[in-house]
Amino acid sequence: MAAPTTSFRKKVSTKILQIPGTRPSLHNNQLLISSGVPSFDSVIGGGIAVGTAILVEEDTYGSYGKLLLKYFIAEGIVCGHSSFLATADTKPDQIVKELPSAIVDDPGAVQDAQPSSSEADDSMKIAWRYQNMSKVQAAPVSTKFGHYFDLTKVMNPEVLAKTDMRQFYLPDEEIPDRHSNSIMNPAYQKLLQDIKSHIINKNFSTSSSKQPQQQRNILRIAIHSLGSPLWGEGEVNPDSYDPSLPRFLYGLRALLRSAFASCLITVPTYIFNDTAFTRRIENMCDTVVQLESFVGSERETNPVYKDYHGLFHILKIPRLNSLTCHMPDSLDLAFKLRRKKFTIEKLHLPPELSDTASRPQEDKDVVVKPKTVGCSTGSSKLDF
Amino acid sequence: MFIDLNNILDIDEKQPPDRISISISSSQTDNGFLIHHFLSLYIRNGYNVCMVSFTQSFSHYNNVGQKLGVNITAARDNGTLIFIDGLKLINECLFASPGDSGGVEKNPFSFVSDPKPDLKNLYDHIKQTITSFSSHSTVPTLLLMDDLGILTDLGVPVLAVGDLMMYLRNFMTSAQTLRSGCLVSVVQADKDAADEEHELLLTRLAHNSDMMLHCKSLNSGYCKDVHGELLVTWLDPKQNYPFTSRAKRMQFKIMDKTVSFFAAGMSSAVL
Repeated sequence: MAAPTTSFRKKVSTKILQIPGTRPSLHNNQLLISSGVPSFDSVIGGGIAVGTAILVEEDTYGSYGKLLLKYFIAEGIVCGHSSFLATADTKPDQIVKELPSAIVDDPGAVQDAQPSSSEADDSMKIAWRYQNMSKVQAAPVSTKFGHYFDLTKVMNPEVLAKTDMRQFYLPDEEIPDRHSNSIMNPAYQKLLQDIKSHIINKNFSTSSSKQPQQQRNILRIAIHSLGSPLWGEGEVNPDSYDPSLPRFLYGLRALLRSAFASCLITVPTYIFNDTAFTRRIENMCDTVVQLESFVGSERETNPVYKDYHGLFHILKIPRLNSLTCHMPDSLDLAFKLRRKKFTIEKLHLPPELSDTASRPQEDKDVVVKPKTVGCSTGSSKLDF
Repeated sequence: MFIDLNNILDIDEKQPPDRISISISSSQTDNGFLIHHFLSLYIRNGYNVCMVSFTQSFSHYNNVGQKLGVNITAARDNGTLIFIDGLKLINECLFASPGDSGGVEKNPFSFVSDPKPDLKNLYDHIKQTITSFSSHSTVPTLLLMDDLGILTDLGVPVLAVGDLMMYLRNFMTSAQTLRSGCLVSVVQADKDAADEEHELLLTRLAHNSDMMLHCKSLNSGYCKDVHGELLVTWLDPKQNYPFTSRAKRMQFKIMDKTVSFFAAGMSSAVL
């Protein structure tokens, strides 16, 4: 009965996680999700890695920071991801209502889908074998990576009703009073506990036993204006160092590392007087970007910036599982907001100084090779 | 392990230094490659390594190790590497409710949630870990602490962290103990932010080390092909007055599997 054993084995490709709206990074093979703004994804190296936190330092009036948060959630809804939205001032309901609607690249494809399905019922005469082929061709358009959103339209309420979203609105939560020996600000502690229990209950943890029929999904956590006084920051003795926010972010980082979740946090860092404190918060997050809007500044009228609405600073790009990180060509970036597009562009090109310079290397070409052709004396091109 | 770096630091590739305390600091740039260098250097030579990490999980070091040709998982499995996952352990403390202290008691990082932190537990834990190595081997031990700045960020006073490092240095490098060791500690101190506590901690570490490695970003700003500057300072071990020290300055570019070093301004991108 013993079958001849052979070392030959059919190559079974290792099962890569197939989660809609994700793709592996070309750089370090991390699973990435889109931020909802394709040009944002490209400047930070392809997208937001699953298991990391991205910090957006808000512009002075917070409007663009909030917009990025909306894009982040809207992208998740279009891709079918779960989300967790935490706010302290605007109600999460309000933010959800205002989510922009995705622009479908090819509106024709959606309309064509209906008639073709009815025609396909006709039995085929010639290429009859094709009858058994499945009718669905490609994955649905909506699961691709990164979308553009139309800010003039809001997202379809039916789609919103179907999505899995947990909302956390600080004034509605029961927050215990702060004890002198509590680990951190009770508002943060409650939020951290809620995120943890949500990750465990909904099986987003990497260690949770996965039922075979259950599809892995991504949890997108969005926290709006964390660190503002509404969250209770700076309430107790403003003179001494309050490690609540760094502790919260550190706890969050540890949670995310073992979960199929990514987190986008907007923080109004301009209200912190101490740059050292801002730097500590940045150290606790993986990716850090800063928005600097021109609104109210003299740059608004400066002709150099007439096409743009603000500057986009990349402060930190994570080094995940590798020595290097994504190195953008230039850090002089600016953003502009159009009706259907939020784009981040290079403000100007950097000086051409690189190993792979496109300029010709004159030095090498100048070397004159000794001519071996006998007739030539080398003095003239037409010398015989 | 980067051979160029060994040459710069005067380290014998086959015989990594022992009885030495090295501090790594960085300002507005990344010092991760130095940590991976020391980790792979000691593991490759079959030395014992005790690593305390506050910033990354084990898989990060393991994946980078694979690229550098060192199997860190194997080292952990055969007992030459003990990895203390500070990120995970501190997180357990942050989630512990005040009522139950049963699980947290054994946690060496339980001081994090304490208003008056006492780091003796952590010291004892590390000491115990390192003693467990020396019982079955006599090769030197590396103790690597990845980013002590995290401790101060979480609210542990600088004095306490400084004291811990002084005790650890005594333990690792003193002549009385039979084992010999090397202590590498990391702290991030950004020049522009003027974080007093981090600078204080760095000064404390400077007094406590024999060699200092400092990475900083370029004064001229961001460049795609030159990632920063490495400043190496050897401090006089006898601390004779006036203090004499020797220093070297190199620029570097980090690549996927290696790091290239060159004299300042000698990058192939600008020549």
